[in-house]
Amino acid sequence: MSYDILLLLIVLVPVLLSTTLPAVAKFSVSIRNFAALLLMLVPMVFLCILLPEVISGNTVKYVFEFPLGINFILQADIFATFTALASVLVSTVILIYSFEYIKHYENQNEYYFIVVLFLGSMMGIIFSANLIFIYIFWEMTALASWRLIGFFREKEYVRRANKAFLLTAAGALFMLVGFLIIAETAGSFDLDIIANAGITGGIVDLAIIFILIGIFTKSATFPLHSWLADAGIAPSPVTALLHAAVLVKIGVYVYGRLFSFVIIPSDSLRTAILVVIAVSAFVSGGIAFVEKDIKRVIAFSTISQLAFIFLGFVSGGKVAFAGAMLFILIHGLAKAGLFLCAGIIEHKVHTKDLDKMGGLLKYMPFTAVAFACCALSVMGIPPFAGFFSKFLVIIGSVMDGNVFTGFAFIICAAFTVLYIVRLFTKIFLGEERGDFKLLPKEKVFSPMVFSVIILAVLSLGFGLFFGDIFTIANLAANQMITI
Amino acid sequence: MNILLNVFIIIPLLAGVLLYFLPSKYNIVKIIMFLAAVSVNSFFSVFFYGREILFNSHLLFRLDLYFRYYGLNSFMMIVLGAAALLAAVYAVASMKKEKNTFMFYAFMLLALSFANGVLLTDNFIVLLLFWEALMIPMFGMIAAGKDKPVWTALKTLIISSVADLCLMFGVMLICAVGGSFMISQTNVDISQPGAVFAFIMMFIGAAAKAGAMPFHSWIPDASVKAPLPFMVFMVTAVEKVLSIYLLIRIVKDLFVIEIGSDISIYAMIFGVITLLVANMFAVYQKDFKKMLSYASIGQAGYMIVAVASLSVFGMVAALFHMTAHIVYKTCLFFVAGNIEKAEGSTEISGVKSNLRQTMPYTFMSFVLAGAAFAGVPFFFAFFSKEMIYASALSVNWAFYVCLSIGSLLSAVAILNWGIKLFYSKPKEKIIQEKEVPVFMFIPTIISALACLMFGIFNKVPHTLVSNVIGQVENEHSVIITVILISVSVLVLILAFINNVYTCKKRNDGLGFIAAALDKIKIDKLNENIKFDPYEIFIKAVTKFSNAMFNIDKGLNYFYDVTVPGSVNFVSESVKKAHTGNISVYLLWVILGIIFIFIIF
Repeated sequence: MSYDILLLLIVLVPVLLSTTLPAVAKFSVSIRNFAALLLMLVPMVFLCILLPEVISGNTVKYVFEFPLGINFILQADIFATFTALASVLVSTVILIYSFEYIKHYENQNEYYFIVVLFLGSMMGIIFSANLIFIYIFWEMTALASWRLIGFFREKEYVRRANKAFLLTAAGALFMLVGFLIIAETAGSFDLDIIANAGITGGIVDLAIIFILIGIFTKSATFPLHSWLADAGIAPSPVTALLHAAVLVKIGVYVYGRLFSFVIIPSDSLRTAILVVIAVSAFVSGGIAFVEKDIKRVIAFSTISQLAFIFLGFVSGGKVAFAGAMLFILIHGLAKAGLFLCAGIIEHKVHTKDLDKMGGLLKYMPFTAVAFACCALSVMGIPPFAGFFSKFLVIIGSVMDGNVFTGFAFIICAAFTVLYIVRLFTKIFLGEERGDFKLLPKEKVFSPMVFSVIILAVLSLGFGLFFGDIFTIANLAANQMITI
Repeated sequence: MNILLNVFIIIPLLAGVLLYFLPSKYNIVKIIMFLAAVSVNSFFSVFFYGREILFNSHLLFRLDLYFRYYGLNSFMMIVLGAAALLAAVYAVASMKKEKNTFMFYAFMLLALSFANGVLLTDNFIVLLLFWEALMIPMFGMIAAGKDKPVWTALKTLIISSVADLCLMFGVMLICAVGGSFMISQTNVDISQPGAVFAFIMMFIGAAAKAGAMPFHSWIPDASVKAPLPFMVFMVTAVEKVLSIYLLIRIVKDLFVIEIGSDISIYAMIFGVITLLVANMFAVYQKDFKKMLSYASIGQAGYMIVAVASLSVFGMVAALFHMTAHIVYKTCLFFVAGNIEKAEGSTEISGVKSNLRQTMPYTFMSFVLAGAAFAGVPFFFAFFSKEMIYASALSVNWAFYVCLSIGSLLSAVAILNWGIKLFYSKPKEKIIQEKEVPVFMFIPTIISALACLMFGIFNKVPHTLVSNVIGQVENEHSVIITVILISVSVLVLILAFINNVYTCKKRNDGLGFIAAALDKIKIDKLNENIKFDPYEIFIKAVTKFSNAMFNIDKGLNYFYDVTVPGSVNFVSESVKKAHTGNISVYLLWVILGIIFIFIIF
């Protein structure tokens, strides 16, 4: 099979075949679960086949031409393939976790259908090399997240799902206007043509601002972040998927794809973006330090960490870009781990209120260790992988001349340590603030605990073998610069 | 793979991990493994001393990393190895009945591995990696204390990470300015853009490791809560060695700074503040271990002043004093551990027997180490302190005066504790010997004898230190040197008179020094938790966070109430216009057409 067909299948298999999952469930729930897993594994295998090809410096492209220049173009380079692989990896672990978590709830067929569709849409955004198709897949993820956030269907849940959908859809409309301006200026929706056009000027900056509104809404950047913390009411695998693996990463990925090297924002706009993301990191870090809901703390932590990824892409240098690219993977793993651990805790103690926890280390030691590993990675403590990505992003920014922004982010990193330490302490250490003595003994080989252990091991493993993934990121940065 | 990497990093690391996961039925194997790993480390630190080896490894993190074994770090590794061995033997003897003993051993080995990593590496990123990774074993070792002092461990973790982030930023800046990640290839002129900021951040990060103020407040807490070998190995040895090593590298290799420049003066002031405030606090402590920990912070101040003087003489003095400090403070902590074992407490109210009679060897050890600590002539720290005085005097006499005041306070503190512990009236009339088991006693007496031997034969450590930094002569004349020594002796006599006066006039054991300190309300500052820099920091962060939380609440109100309310208002208004009357619709159409005409 040629690489371009492989690339097409990476997008189409999950998008199209996800619709069959409810039908498969008529035969057996187990087969449906297995099929859902297969729909995740197929793109992962294909991506693994594709990776050596793109690492060797080639770009794989699939083109299907439509009228009016709205061509369906999929393009795989190292950056796209690496990000896609990161998303599929985290999503697959989340899916395995869901097998146990979601089995007690209704609407399971819809859950699996939407989760796989979600991943397919993400693949579509990552590989699309045409602005209109980026927008189409972008809106597909908005629809998917709307269904998933409102999974429990109660009034408050639906309200918050609506809020998330309306905010991100409104942001997407701004983004569409930006895309139209870009296409008008460059003469095409195709990214290659736009890159070659070398467009600059006030109108381009205006377009970038419009697109940024969409990006910031999706990637929950202050002041457009409020839907993300509210989305914490969704089931834990969903929050992990939204906050760690797929949804919020879309925005930062699109920024990296469009604005790092293809369309260059003016210096003043770049400075403004740096200010916005630094403020976002500060505000969300501050809120995370005083929030009392376990999921909201992790959600605000996501908002804060997304700012670090933005910093890498906004800085404009090779090192920062490579750091941001690795941050997507490493933060995805660790944050998914934290959300899934939160799910296990919530399942057991039936509360999300940190003031009603404490001393849980004794009752759920495996979850605690996994949580600690993921937390250390998010904090950026070596040898966990999070240290390297954070270091690269900030040093990259400093090397690009953004010394004060780098310093601001160092303070944000200190905030990260504070709120994560507080979170861990409130959950696992200190006195017990509930009757936990009757909690069943924790089993390692349940899908839920096993999933978080995998994520914890990966958070450490990618640190210990950092050189290998850094080589890939470095190649990706070099490839992007040559665009 | 290079043997140095195996011996100094991999072996303790693997031994630590293995030891942690081995089941409890292999406890004897665990103890042997622990002692063997530390002994191997100590043996090879001496065996390789004097060689210069550069090597590359791809094993760690799969990155091409360079390591450099040479004079300075090889000396540091000997000091570290010796302290680790003494602490390990003491830990095995003193912690055998405690619950988290093996967790402590495992983390101690990890700490040894990481500390060696910091010393060996020639790469900034790896330096940060090992430096920051040390937080994990630090947390684990404190948490292994008797009452699981998690809050103290967390406080340590938070303070260390904030300081480490300063270092991290300094490293980032120096890499950006110097254009290299290799330590040996970096030599940045302080006048280059960004270099001053890089220097400040690195200096703060390195000095904070030694417990410089305001990053000190976890040390007194840990001294009470953590297992005693932690204070010896981590606080006394690892933290000081790494801090002084990096400070020397910063001023000697990484930056080009003129002696007497403003930045050097500010750095010296930073050191002076640390030594004065910490020694004042030390005087007031009611727990022997807390006193020692404050004194340890104060001694860091001396070393900072010496390094910041920027002269080679100052650096030799700092290194010499660091070694002396590790030797006598190790002994004093062992003395504290022995007393705690025998009496159950190191608080003055908890000591009931006449320790001079019940623990004669511990008493002798205290005398020897206490004399070195106070700077009594011909004891180990006497020479290093004199060198520090000389280097401070060559910059400005005010620094010298401050250092002398600091020495007076240290001498008062140790004399006061000597009298309280060994000469006060016993509350119990037990004369029965309470001396600790032999394996606790051996490290105590070895370190005590070292205080005397290295004092008498001070040429040995002085030569070793001079070999790694550079041969230097005292720049002051013989007369000045004699005056300096005389002043030091006078300071000691003053401290002695103060304590004699105390015995006769006051019952707090602090003499006229206390009266002077009372005037500046040091006791209030010491006792009130509100003045703990950590508490001030956490309070400020909480205030900021609450403000951010309220901003978010406001935003949520906007999205949840204002926006839907506005939409509802518009839609209700339009609904009102939607009357079903055809003439009204006609009016709307006409208005629409006019609107289009206006626009186009």
